[in-house]
Amino acid sequence: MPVLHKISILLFSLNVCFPFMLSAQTGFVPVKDMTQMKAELIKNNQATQTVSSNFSQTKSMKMLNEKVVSKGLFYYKKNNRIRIEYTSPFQYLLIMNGGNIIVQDEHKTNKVNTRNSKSLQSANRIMMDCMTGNVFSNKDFEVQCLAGQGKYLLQLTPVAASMKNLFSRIDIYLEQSDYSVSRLTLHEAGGDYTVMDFTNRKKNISLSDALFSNP
Amino acid sequence: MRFFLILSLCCIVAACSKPAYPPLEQAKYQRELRQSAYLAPEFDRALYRCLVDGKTFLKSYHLSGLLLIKKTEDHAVNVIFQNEMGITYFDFYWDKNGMFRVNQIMPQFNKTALVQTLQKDFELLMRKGLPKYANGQFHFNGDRDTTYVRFPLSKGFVFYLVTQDRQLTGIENADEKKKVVVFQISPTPLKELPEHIIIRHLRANFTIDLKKIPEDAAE
Repeated sequence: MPVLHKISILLFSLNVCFPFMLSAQTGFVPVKDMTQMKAELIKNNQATQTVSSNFSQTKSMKMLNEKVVSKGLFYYKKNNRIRIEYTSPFQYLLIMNGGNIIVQDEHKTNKVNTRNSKSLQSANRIMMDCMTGNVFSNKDFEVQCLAGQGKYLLQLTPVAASMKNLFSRIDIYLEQSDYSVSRLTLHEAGGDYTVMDFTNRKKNISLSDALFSNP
Repeated sequence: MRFFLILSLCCIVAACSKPAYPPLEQAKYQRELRQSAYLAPEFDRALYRCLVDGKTFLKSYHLSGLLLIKKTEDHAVNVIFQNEMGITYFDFYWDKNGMFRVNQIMPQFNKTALVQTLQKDFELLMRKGLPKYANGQFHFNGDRDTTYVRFPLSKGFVFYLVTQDRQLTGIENADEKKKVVVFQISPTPLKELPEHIIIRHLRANFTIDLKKIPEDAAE
């Protein structure tokens, strides 16, 4: 068999097998019936009035072999209200209420100029999209949906230039049982990444409106 | 004619303006304080809560995040500022010889003047790029407990404020006419990085407030 022919067969085999090899490595495979998945996601989110959870956030810096860990509380209430409250190792509060973003740190409370805070805006838009089931309609990203380990993995690859500056990819892990977000991973272009793990998740418990108003 | 009159008046006012420091009193010579290496902090890692407040002609601004100062095994140093959600604002790097480069920076921060200003701040804090020896030791305002150790810089000079028990309480960068940057530091042994630092940029009109986060704070 000519050498070129052998190489062609090898390349063809790699081409065919590589996606499966990759999927086998990560334990996730592409979702076949996207229509049904999307419909289920929207249906579930329509039934979700509130979400409350704890979170643990770990920023990993690849080159420095360094991790920065923070913790806090996450709340969502229909419609379009999110509260992210960092409690350790620093105090920081972020409220997204409709189109408004309010942040409070040790010094002051501010309305964020979202033009200057694309990262904050996009991270919150993504969380909001997950809650409302609109993640597939975010034009800033191309979405690939995988499934495995009892979870759906939505891989968001930035299309918009402004997002490419911030992220190389965003991974959203949804529990297949109730479509709640259990993990969010923000991959930066330089190789660093931030993982937010949501634990003690509770749906449709009573949450006061005051949680989402100006503190 | 009127223009020249105004210009002359401005020159006279400028010439008569007070220098950054009144005549300083020569301090008793302390041999070890003369060496910049003696003043240099030794550290592996420090994580700070970082709050920035500033003013421009048009508006005020406020920014917050975490600042990580980390020495690597090859004696290089990274200074990384990121927001609370972990997104990197900038990643500055000094190699073991003190050569500076920007590893990563968000477009909003990528202004030459800002990068140079921040580079100088961190170099003053880490005592990088100082000449080997100080060119003066002084007292100020009759305070004999604090020695102002002066090192010349390419532009102006810097004072390190050191108490008799060898604690650093401040850093002041000035030229002959005005103070440019003042670091207010919680008293800290010379070989350590401070717990609390307030860096006031008197010309650029912004303040950086850094509070050290204990290593086990998030456990």
